Amino acid sequence: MDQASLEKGPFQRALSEPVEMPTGETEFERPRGVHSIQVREGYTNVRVHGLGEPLPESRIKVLASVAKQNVSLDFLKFTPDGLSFVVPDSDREAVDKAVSEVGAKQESKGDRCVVLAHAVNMRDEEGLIARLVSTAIASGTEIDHMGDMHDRVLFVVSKNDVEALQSALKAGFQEEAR
Amino acid sequence: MKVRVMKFGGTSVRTPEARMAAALRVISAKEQGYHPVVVVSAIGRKGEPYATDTLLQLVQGIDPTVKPDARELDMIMAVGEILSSVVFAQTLKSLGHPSMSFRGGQAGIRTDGVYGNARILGVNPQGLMEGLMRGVIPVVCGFQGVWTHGKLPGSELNTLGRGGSDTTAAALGAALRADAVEIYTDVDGVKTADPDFVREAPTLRRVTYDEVAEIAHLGAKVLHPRAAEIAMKFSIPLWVKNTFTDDSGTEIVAGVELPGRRVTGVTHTGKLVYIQIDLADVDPAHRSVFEARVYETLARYHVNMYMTTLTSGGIGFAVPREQFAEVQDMFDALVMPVSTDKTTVYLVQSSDKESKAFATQSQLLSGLDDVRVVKLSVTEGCTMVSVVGKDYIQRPGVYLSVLQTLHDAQIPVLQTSDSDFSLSVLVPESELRRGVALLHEKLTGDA
Repeated sequence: MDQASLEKGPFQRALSEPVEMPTGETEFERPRGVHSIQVREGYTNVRVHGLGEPLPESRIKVLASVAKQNVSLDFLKFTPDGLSFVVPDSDREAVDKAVSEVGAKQESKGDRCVVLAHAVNMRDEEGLIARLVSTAIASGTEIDHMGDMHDRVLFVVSKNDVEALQSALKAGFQEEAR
Repeated sequence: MKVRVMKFGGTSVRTPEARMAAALRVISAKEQGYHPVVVVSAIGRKGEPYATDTLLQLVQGIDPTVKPDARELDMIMAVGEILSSVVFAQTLKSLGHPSMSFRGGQAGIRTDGVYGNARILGVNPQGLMEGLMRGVIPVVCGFQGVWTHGKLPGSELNTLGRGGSDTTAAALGAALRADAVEIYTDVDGVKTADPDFVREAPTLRRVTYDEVAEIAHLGAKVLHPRAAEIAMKFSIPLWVKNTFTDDSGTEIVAGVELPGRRVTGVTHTGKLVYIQIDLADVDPAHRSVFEARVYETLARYHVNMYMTTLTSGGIGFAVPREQFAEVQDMFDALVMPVSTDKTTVYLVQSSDKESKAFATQSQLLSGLDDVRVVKLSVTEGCTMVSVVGKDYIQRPGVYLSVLQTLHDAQIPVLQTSDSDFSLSVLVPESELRRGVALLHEKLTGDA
């Protein structure tokens, strides 16, 4: 509301009074799109496979054995014959031991990074998560896992792919956010 | 000037009695020396005469085959809050307190021009300040602002999308340097689970901005993440309170240590359909192009995905049930050329039974050398239950606790997903209540 409008409006009587008020306009919500990208290093992706039936019980046995080693795991996913998850590199040995103790087969890939694409209010920007995944795959990045939060999408990728993924996300989204 | 922004949701302005209870809270704040600024939602909930859905139906019901423009929908939706603000202002006036209603634009809320889901670019609270200085209680329409376009003579009305009234309240709180923003609803604050599912779920006394945004992201209907984001950015004390009780409510605070509590809550989303695409028949050389095309298609149709899974065997994602028919339709008989020489083509079959479109496409493509069919595997009747807790989730054995609890209760888990603050499981919708109650009992007990 500008001064001229006020003079014509219901406040005209108050205009002579001193008014203390915040000056100018306050900027609020972040623009749409990805506003920052962050990289966390030092993870291993573990794929446990060839588990026997019943699968749910076999998976629980693996998780119990990993928990016994006091290891916190992330990005847990069920696969048709087992499960996969991500642990810090420093826990790799403990996980190897835990998985072998239950007689399961595993493959571990080190040098994994978590790339976080931050964008506000992800859920209400319909299609944004799909666009991010599509952009990531089209950049040639092989994605091991992904997750999402209210303000970020997380990709687990090889350290070798981080640069290409960051460039693709910046090109595809950060320009749009400005 | 001590300003307090008080936002009242649909149930708090639904009846004359509810409006009276809300108005008395406003007057009480004034008597305590605050200058209240009220933000209101539309009156009532779905199906009621002045609720937003009812207003939309007035336009959409004229001819369901003719889709109204987003601009027109914004115009009709904004009526609900305008009506509510005038009624509330008159309620205050009838109790002896001068009050004026303000549309979003009159309150100085400037938006980015996106009809139906606008973001707030800025707020100039001069008009509201003028009112406050005169002792008037402003009642502002939530969920709306205006976009000023250089070529247009006036300003265009925009609605703010989901959680718009919470966002209005937080934005006004920031612009007016408010002492507090209070979001009034019909529950005592942020609960550790939906009280409809876990009657004894306690009210959290303090919760961080991030945690409350995450539980909203995962289905809880307490406070919109956009409001939490604004409050966090401007360090405004934010509260969720009950209009109808004297409970002290929940304070939303910055990321500080909250001793004695590890699980923020067990939440659930609505009805989902889980879709899996087995990539066994996709040539490894074509796989990344195929996957990218699938996600491009989902993005093009603005599909809201949950539980996105990428494994060596295939891809999976859940979609809201209301979007499923559209998703099934857009994938059915979709032709995906993937190799540069176009010798290999993938054809998607989205249901067990071959549709006419699929049969026609198969026939048209029969002359090509290499046509491969990829089938969608669909699991209907799913829902997602999530455990939120920033510190708790990092604890070894949390996944084990969740999966063991559900396994012992013979609740099948179709897939899992997690992030920094939460882990989620996809379960049959028929097991939702039991799943939420069991996990709440187990995990809040553990914590």
